[in-house]
Amino acid sequence: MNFSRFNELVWQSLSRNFRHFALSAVGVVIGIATLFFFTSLGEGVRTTVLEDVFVIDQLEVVDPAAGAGLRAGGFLGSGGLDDRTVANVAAIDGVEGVYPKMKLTFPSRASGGEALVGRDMGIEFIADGIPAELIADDVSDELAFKDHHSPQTCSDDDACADGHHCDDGECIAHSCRPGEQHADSNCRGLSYCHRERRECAMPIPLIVSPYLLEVYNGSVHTALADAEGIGGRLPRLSEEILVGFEFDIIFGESFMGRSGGIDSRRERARIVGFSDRAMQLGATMPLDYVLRLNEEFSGDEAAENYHSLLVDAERNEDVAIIAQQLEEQLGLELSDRHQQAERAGLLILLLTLLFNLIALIILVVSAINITHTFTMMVMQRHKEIGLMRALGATRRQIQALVIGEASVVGLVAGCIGIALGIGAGLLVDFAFDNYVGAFPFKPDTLFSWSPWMFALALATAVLFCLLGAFLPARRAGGVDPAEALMGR
Amino acid sequence: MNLSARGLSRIYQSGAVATKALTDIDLRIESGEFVAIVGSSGSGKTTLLNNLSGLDTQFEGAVDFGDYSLNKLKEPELARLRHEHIGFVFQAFNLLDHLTALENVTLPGFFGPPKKSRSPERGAELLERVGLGNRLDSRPPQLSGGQKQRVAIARALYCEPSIIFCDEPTGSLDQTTGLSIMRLFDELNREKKLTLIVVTHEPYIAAMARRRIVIKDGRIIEDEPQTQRWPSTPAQQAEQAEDAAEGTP
Ligand SMILES: Nc1ncnc2c1ncn2[C@@H]1O[C@H](COP(=O)(O)OP(=O)(O)O)[C@@H](O)[C@H]1O
Ligand SMILES: [Mg+2]
Repeated sequence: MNFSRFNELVWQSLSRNFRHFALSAVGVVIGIATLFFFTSLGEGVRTTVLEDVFVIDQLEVVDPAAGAGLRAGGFLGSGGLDDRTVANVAAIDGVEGVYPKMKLTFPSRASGGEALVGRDMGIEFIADGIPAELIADDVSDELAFKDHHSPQTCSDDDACADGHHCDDGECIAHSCRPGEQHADSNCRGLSYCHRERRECAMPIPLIVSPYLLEVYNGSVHTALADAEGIGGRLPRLSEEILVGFEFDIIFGESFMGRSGGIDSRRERARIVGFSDRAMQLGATMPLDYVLRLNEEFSGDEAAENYHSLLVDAERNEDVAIIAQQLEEQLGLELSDRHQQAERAGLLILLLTLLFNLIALIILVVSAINITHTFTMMVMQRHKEIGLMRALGATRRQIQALVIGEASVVGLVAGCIGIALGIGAGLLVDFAFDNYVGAFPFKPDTLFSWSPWMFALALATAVLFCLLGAFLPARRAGGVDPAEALMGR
Repeated sequence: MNLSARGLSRIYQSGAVATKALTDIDLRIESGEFVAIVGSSGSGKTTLLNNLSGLDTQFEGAVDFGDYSLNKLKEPELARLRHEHIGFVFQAFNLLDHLTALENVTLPGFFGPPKKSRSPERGAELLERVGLGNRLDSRPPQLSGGQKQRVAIARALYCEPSIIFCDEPTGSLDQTTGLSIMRLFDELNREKKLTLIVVTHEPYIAAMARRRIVIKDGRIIEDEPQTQRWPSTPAQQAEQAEDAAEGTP
């Protein structure tokens, strides 16, 4: 039987029994809409939670001793996290990058903010360091995130940072007088005149975690919005506003205490970009600064070991295996963020499955409904089927006719179901956008619609229609023409 | 193609009850014959027709159509044979009400391989031939009984069969209309050398065939050639019909 003519026959039958078919499809439409809605919701929420909140493709190896302040100086023969560990971790299959991090081990505070909120504010400053070259991708200007304070070689002035010139192959800072207007000073561009050293210097570049920004905008800003005083005047911040923001850091002195015996020192810092690899509640600077500062304020030993290693996986699927290897083969300890991520992911997956189970039940019921409707139609068309058999239709052709009708019902019901699912999603998104207040990582949309979902929904719709039509099709194929045409 | 039955018997088994509808039928019908099968209601005419046409192959004995032995064919082969060589005309017309006359005629085309000769144009030609050239787009409910049966005949002709089986084709029609249908059959038989087997319980219809087989209680009791007796005017038709009715109680 020719395919297009077969379609014509299916079409004739569908258009004649339109109401029956439409009724039988309602259940499938609802089932598919439910399935599509919850699958895209689950995917959307999972994406937000896992990729933005927990950064699932990232693992963090922590040094347990360092965290508890119990380092016994290699007492058990195992060092902390050193360059050997970094190399071992990097050698694991599926690891894309390893980012060793070291914390500042002495108290510091930050001061500034006039440009943002109209008044200087003070805050504890917590920071760590990460090799500058590993972060290049996350910061637009590649010169921005680097150690400006160590000696730089150069061929001409252009190779040096602002406020420096090239002399004998080395960048030398211009001298300057503090308090001079920026425009009149020797310190051009991003550089500033360092108060004590009386020469131009580049601010310490910092990167900040998007997480911190989200927490600020979603919780702090929202919570303080109606507060009296300065809290009420805090602006909503964005990456654009913050990049380029400068403030002072006072190393060796904080609201909690001072470093013993060493004078505190004031340096300027500048936010140069946002990165998932930055410390979540604090700021991250190039590692060399941290090494020098720790040595200066806490002594040599503090500069020997990393406090943690960030491990990026090539693919999300590999994260679990990499985590296992880190823990079991290398005996390393992971931060509990990974576990949280896994737990959150599992929870979302379970909820999605639960709701999809409901969708599945709806679909099973509608398949049974289809069986009933189709059986009824086959019985009504008993004579017609007998006639077709007399005219030369084989059993298979008759079965194919019923199956074809079911497929069309499935496809149409699937499309309508998907449309309804998307419609419901857009409605929920609209309500979510307009009636739910800001919170950290509040996504633009709760849903994620990907091509595989459309395929899945259509295939499921057709599958259940076919399941429903299976018995009626067999029944239709079994019609005995002699008996059907007897005319009794 | 010739049609022959040897030792044909058909027993209907419904539960514990067995009905012997046909007993030991021997029969040979040559290509191009115009045969009437007569008998009272329940004598087994429909059963015989179903067995001869392959609609029902649950019989004992053998039915051969050309080189095909009907009860030895597999289901798709049998369907193919019906599709290519056999036409049917039923008492109840069996047209599909949701299709137009033309669509009804071309319906059999769906079940076989596409052919040039199976086109809407050919369907229209056939409707023209049976006198319904102006009703192509009418649906069965808009047609009279005689017109419906003409559509059914056009449908039976669509796949160019060599034989047409007609079960009480005039049973739902009044006499005049029935006679005109028989006249159409006669013309087709002459024009196309079409084998025609017409089952009827009405003697005046049977009188128009060129061979008459009488069956009673599932057996052939008479099988003779006959000269066709065509009524000419409506009055004569009625008279002859009455005569015929008196002839057989
Ligand atoms: N499907 C069937 N099941 C049981 N008995 C049947 C069936 N079809 C026909 N019969 C019986 O077979 C006999 C012949 O029937 P049928 O061939 O229809 O006769 P006719 O067409 O001459 O009226 C009748 O007694 C009828 O009751
Ligand atoms: Mg009968």
